[in-house]
Amino acid sequence: MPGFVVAQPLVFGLANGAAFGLVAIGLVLIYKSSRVFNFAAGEFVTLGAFGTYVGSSVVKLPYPLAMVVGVLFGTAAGLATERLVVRPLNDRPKVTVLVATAAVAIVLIPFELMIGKVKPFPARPAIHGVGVKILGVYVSPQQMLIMLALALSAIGLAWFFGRTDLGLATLATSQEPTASRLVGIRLNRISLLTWGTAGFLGGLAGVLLPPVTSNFTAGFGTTSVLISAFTAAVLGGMTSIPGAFVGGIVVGIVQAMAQFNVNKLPGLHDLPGPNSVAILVVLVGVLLVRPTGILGKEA
Amino acid sequence: MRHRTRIAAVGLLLCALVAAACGQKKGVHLAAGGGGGASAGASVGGTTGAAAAGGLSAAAAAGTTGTAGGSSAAAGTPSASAGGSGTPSAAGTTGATTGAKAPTTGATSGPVDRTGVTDSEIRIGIHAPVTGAAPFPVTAFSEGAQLYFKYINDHGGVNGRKVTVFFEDDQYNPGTAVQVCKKMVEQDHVFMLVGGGGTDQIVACAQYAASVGVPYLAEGVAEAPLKSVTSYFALSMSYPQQATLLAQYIKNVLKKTKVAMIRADTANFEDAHTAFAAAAKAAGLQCSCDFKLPKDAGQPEAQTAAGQLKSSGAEVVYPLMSPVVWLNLVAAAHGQLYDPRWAGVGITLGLNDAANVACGSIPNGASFFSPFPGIDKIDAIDPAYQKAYQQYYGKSGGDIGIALWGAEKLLAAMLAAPGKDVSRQAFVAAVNGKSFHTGVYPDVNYSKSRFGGTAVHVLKADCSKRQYTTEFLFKSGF
Amino acid sequence: MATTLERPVEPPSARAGTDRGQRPSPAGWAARGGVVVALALISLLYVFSNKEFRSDALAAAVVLAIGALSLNVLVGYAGQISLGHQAFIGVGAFTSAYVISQSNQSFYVGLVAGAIVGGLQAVVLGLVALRVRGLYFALVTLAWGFVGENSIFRSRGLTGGGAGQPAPRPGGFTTDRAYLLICVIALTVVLLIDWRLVASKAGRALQAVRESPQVAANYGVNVRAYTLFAFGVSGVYAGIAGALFASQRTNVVAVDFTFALIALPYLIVTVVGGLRRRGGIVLFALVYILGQQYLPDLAKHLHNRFIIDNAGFVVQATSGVLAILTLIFQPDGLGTVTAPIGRWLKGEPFVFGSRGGAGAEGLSVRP
Repeated sequence: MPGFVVAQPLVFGLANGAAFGLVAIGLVLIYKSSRVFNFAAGEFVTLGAFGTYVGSSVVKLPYPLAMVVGVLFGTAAGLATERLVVRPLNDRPKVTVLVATAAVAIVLIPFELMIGKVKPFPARPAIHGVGVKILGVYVSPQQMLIMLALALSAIGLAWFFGRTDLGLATLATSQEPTASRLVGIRLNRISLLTWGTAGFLGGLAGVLLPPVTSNFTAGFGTTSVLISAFTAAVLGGMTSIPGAFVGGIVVGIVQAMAQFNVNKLPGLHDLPGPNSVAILVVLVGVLLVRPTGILGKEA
Repeated sequence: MRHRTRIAAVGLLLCALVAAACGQKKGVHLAAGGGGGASAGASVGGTTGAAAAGGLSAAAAAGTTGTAGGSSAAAGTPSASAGGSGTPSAAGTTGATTGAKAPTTGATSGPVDRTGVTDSEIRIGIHAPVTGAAPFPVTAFSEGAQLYFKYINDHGGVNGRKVTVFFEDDQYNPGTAVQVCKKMVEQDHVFMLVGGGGTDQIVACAQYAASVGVPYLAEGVAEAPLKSVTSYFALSMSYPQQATLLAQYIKNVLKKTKVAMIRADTANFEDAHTAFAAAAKAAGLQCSCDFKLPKDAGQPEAQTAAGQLKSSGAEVVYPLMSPVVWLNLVAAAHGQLYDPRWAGVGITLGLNDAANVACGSIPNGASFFSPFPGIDKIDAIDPAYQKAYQQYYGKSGGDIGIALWGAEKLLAAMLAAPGKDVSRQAFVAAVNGKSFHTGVYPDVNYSKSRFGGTAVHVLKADCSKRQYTTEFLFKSGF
Repeated sequence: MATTLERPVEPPSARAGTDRGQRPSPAGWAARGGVVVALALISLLYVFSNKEFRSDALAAAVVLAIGALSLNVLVGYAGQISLGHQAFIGVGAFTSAYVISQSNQSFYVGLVAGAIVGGLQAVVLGLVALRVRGLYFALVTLAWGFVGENSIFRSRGLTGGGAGQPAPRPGGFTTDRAYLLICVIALTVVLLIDWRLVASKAGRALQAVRESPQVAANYGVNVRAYTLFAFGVSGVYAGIAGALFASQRTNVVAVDFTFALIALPYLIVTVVGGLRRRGGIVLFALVYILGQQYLPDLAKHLHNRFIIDNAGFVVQATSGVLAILTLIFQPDGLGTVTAPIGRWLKGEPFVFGSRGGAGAEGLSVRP
């Protein structure tokens, strides 16, 4: 097809997709352990970005320390959501918990707006510089950093679930909660651990993603990351960590390709927001045609 | 069955009550409005003609100290001249000429609306975004919005009246702009409205203001949607008017020929677009003029747009959009290693806050036409600004303050035009056909149309200081 | 759940039958009538003793109430979750604005068009809901909301792009007080429809479908038809809310219909007001908007600059906390208070406690 751009969206898609993947892994962890859809996940991301901003621009910490603050913000949000909102609703229908997690976002977004107002916050990259030229386009250090973070997180989680007692206990809980409790696994601990990890991953995505685009706004995690991450998780079957990993990359690339190329299709020249349309198409397509996702065993 | 009828009856009763009360409402409302108007009219009428010892002329005298800072037209004196030659006329004549004229205008044009004007006060309402896609920093904005009138009120006011400024945040949303303008008109009873920036909001509020007979002033933006709004006056050159200047600037100053224009997708930028495409063609430039992106475009749209601009190969890009979207765009373009020279028109794009963020991503520079001069030249053309800022706030003022100072200085000159008998009708009649000279904003001349701007300043990003410096003052051709 | 199936939301006739022994005395009726008249008078007094812009806020509250009632049909009656209500409301708003200002039709034609198109888009979404179950459908609505927000509403041909689409108020109703009357009439109509809907066969069928689609199908309920019906009704309410919203603001742009500004607050109002509790929902919509209106005044007395500047955000955050507390402790929300009062007004004795509302099971959704 003449005029189609490939290399540039591929780079954007890979980097954004890596961030979606991080968040999607968090969604999958929670879904595996408690069958809950976590709609607060987007705000774990925003808090990560916010923490970095507060750390570097308000408290004037060195940048690496500010990044740690960001990740801690995300993790704390994950833990607090579990303890204060999810655990009291343990025996309720899952949709109640879903609405409650959405309510967490409802609480957090205005808080961010109160502190930061309705305007963008600057986000400076961890490493400055043009980056490396691949396929005729440049990949910035920040973009490489996100992909690296996703890869490390995936390896770390694989090790955790495959090699550590706690990881095995978490897996066991997700498959047989009652039996797990009988063998002495403390479900509340496991639940807290899962949510903390999801918060950590979300926070990490929030620390790394905004510098790619140089700024972020209050609530951006919910408005521009959450649905992509969910679609990634659904693509991966909702219960598969490698699936979420791959799903994130796929969603990132599909969105970027749509954003760059849909306006070159006949009749769609003036279609705004092609990436949002692409998400809806992918999501509905997967749910209608192959509800178990691409990599998932069960949905 | 019984329940149904009973509840239906209750519902009907409620409706009837509300309806009855509403029917009553109109009369109540009119009576109140009429009463207020009458009392205001009486009090003003009683003092008309008395003691026109102009506060504004006093202020003007105070302002005359600073002259000639490298600009030909520089003078600190706000003044109005009836013929509209644009030459600086002596301070104090303003009050005399228009003072004589205004009462006759008021007398001939039937109903006279003096809302917002008393013996001692004129209320004006300003709307501007301090949140949204083009946020002014709220402190700088609220300080700046009050400064000139604090200063002039302490120097006798405008024809003896103090000016009170009301401010509302329009959130860069035209619907909100109409709501806050309505609030200032209905609740704060302002005499007139002033737009602080943002084309869609200015157009929406100007149209609302016209519908309720309230005069409206704002920087020059679009023309087409404001052609029929006879109570609107542009404080500076409109975007279509600046098109020719910009094309000349690109050709003769930047010495480039391949240019692109990208604009936010709103009907209100159509005339700016058409005018620039024509001007570029006339100047012999090669223009890819048809790029658009959503008004509140985020990163994905900015990246796509940057990719399109890059493939157009333009050396100069004219962005017509909010600062936030422009900042996204420059970051996206730079990220794709596309670094054009940015050049355009606009009010908010030329603010130092924009330069501060953009500077990481604009190695080939950026310059914008602006109605106000840069911070480096304000002392030369109007030293009263920094003195006043120091006096009232104990610190030196920034460029947002200059923008507001300049606009309000012009506004004060226009408010003085009808003389002592200020009504909405007299104001519009007195401003129409006149020209005003204040020395900060370029002169305006309303003799041909209400889009009276005559010149521009040019601000150029100086990334060593991360702010704009003044490249040209008072230019009407390149 | 089976127990509630045996006793669906009781139709008025059945209730009248069971309560016949405890009919109020004439004095009781007088008291009830007095309360209704007093409430109406207080409302009128409020509207006319305050400036016009207070009526504008009330109109906004009424629009919010209708929008939340729309969400209530989906979440409360049909057991479907919607997190994309900004698309529902926005479609109605832009349809109406387009019809009024681009097709030069009257406001009333715009209102009807908004309701119809709002209903149609909801039915299309309902078709997806028939195939995509439960929690996953929530994702579809979320994605649909963003398509509205980022794509459809930014399409200049339809919505005017950045300048927005003007939606002037109808002749004779341009003032805030007069426009409030239109909104109140619309709310009354929606409430009456909703009341009849729940008490009718459709309402009982919807409840059966909500509890268990399989069981409902076995009883001969047409699950597909009733699900689509619920979506259609919700879409029509949302379309009406959108059309009223457009003319309340007189100009609408894409940024008016965001996830944070519409979808989340509407969901809060529905949950805190109480699922299946019309009175609670309307009451909390009122509290939500009036809170934003009066909080700055209150903060001025306390000289708290922060709250003055952030009233809207403070109210939203507080409501979010209320929503979480509601879900945890009191699934009936404000309905706990309004429902007994409503029953009392209809002639039953005053008994505190919930009946036929969200109840202990809170939200339920098809698995």
